[in-house]
Amino acid sequence: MKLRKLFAMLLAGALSLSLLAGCGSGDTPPAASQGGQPDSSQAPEGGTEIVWAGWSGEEEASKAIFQRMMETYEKASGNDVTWVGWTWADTAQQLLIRTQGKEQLDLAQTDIGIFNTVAAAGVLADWNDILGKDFMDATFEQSALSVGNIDGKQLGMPWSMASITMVYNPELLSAAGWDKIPATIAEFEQCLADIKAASPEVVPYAVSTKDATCAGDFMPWLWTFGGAIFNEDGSVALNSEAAVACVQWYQGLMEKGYIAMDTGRGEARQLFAQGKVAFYDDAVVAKGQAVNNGVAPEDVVNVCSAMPRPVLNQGDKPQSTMWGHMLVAFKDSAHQAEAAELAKTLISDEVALDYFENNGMPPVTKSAAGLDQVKNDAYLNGFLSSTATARLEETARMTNASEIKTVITEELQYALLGQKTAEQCVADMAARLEAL
Amino acid sequence: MFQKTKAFRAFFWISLIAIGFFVFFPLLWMINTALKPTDQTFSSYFFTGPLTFDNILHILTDAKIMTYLKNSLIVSFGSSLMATVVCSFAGYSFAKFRYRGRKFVMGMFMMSQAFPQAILLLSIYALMNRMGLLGSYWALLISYVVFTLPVGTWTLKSYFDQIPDALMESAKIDGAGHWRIMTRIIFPMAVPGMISIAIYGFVWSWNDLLYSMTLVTDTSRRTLASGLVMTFLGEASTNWGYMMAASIVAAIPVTIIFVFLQRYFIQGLTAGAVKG
Repeated sequence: MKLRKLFAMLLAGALSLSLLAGCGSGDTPPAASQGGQPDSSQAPEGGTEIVWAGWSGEEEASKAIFQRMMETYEKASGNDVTWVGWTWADTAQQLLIRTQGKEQLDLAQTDIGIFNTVAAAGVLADWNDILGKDFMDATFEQSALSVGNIDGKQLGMPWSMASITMVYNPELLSAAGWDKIPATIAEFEQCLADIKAASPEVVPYAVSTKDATCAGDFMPWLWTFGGAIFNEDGSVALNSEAAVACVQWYQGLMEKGYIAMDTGRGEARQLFAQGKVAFYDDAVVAKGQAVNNGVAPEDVVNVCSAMPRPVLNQGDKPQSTMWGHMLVAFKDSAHQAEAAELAKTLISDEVALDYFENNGMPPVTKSAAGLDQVKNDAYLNGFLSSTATARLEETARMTNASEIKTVITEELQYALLGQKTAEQCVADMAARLEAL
Repeated sequence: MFQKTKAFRAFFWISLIAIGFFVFFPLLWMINTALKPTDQTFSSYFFTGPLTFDNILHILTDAKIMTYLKNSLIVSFGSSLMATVVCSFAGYSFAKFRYRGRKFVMGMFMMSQAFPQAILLLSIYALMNRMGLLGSYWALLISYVVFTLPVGTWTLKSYFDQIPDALMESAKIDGAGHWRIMTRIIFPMAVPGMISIAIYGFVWSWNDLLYSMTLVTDTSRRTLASGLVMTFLGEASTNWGYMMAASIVAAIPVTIIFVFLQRYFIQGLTAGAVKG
């Protein structure tokens, strides 16, 4: 009897929950712009429901700003925007699933890394066709446009662009007796030694030693030593003296305790914001973390400043990688014109300035870059000075970028853990890349 | 005899401690991180420095997290119960009836396990989209039932195989029909097996991230796994204290269920392992 009752209860529970689940489909989303599937019944009269996807609208640091962006567009156009968001790491995969599944997608946010993956799927529309080449040329600098241009097609509209360069804490440097930033690698090593002596609890340089950011940080150092991952013809160039010297330098920093294992960008940011890291590599979004940790936006520059990467010899060009967010439109979108209007709103001076002042995202249009608030911003200028010589990551246009970065990271980790010599590490790295 | 030697006892305890360390240390570290103040998140102390309940209180009072928790409970309970019902019928059919194509279908059930779930996602996404189920709980419920089916059906088949056919014959002689035999005689004897499948299905749905992130993008219907990742792991910042505190909260329902029902779970999974 007891078992029968239990069964009946289980069945009743299953049915109740199924009903509840079915009813759940009719729930009203908490915010009009926070729903996954646009509901035509909710579209404004005469307006259109368009879908914008990305990741920043999900993050606490930028959620409110994104809400304001959408409201600005909705008020001006009478259309509705449905925001679909994922994590930054999942966005490329989710964009592809959504396009393959023929689900509505009109505009998306991508960064330089994600952009190539999505573009390679052949789903992106050419902005020159949608807005006209004249508009694009009049609005953006050629250097910015070139980042989103693949084989003559303007598949990415620049939204925010700067570089990933080195960031330092002026207060920690000052405490170690450094009132100027180190310009050469020799000075940099001396500075790291002084910081370690003055503040033993501080990680002098939180260079990334894990995940995809490890290879990203390694590349500009490799260039600094005169090396490269690939030759211009695409063949592997890693097996070089410069690469060995670079890995040996990394190993030296590890032996002296200037860098640490198991450090990714996230850990570096968090520790830096807590004053426990003197240097690390980052993009302008570093500001968001500092502000989240209670630093006033105008005071960020006092504890978080950008600097050119130290060079091997005086007179060398400081190295950094391009970083940026782009907007992409989709070939299959039935609302390309509306998506283009939304994109225009996002790059407008008013919206761009809001994003810049509250999140540190540098505007990229000619007009917004000329605004006094932007030109005179000490924090941003540190990044922009490095942007002048910044290069795209060598893997940026490769469809197997993730695989390549994994190889570089794994081999570098072997060297840092002392399991391989620098020569072995570089030889194995090159051999594995050639085999891909 | 071997079990009583000192060498065996030493080996046993050393192995137990080593395995226990790898199992429990990450969990203890999670609790340790959840209890640290934000500015101490990356400090290496282990319960010996300043501790606070701020992170856990923040999670427990965050309405958004509670919505994710509610969604996870609905989806996990719903899918585990639906899967148990379907697996019971399928397992009973495979164990007690002989019909053409039975072995083929059983093989197909097993083969479906060989495909990575990420690959199936593309077709399931398109299917749900076509059926208009994207964004609803149904998309998750159906997917989770599908993924529980192969293991659940085979486990319950093994369970039903153990129940002697003579019982059914006796019931038939007494005038009972198939439905009555199945629901009144066989199913009650297989309750431990069914509970083990219910737990398996529950844990599977509770822990899933990929499907919940893809099939449901509406904040109000997100489950805990995807909700936590979206909330605390960002491009520019990651709040490990909140993340760990939320993970503890997320682990509580599964832990409670497992503690109370582990007897049935083990019994259910081991049934059929030894033919006797």
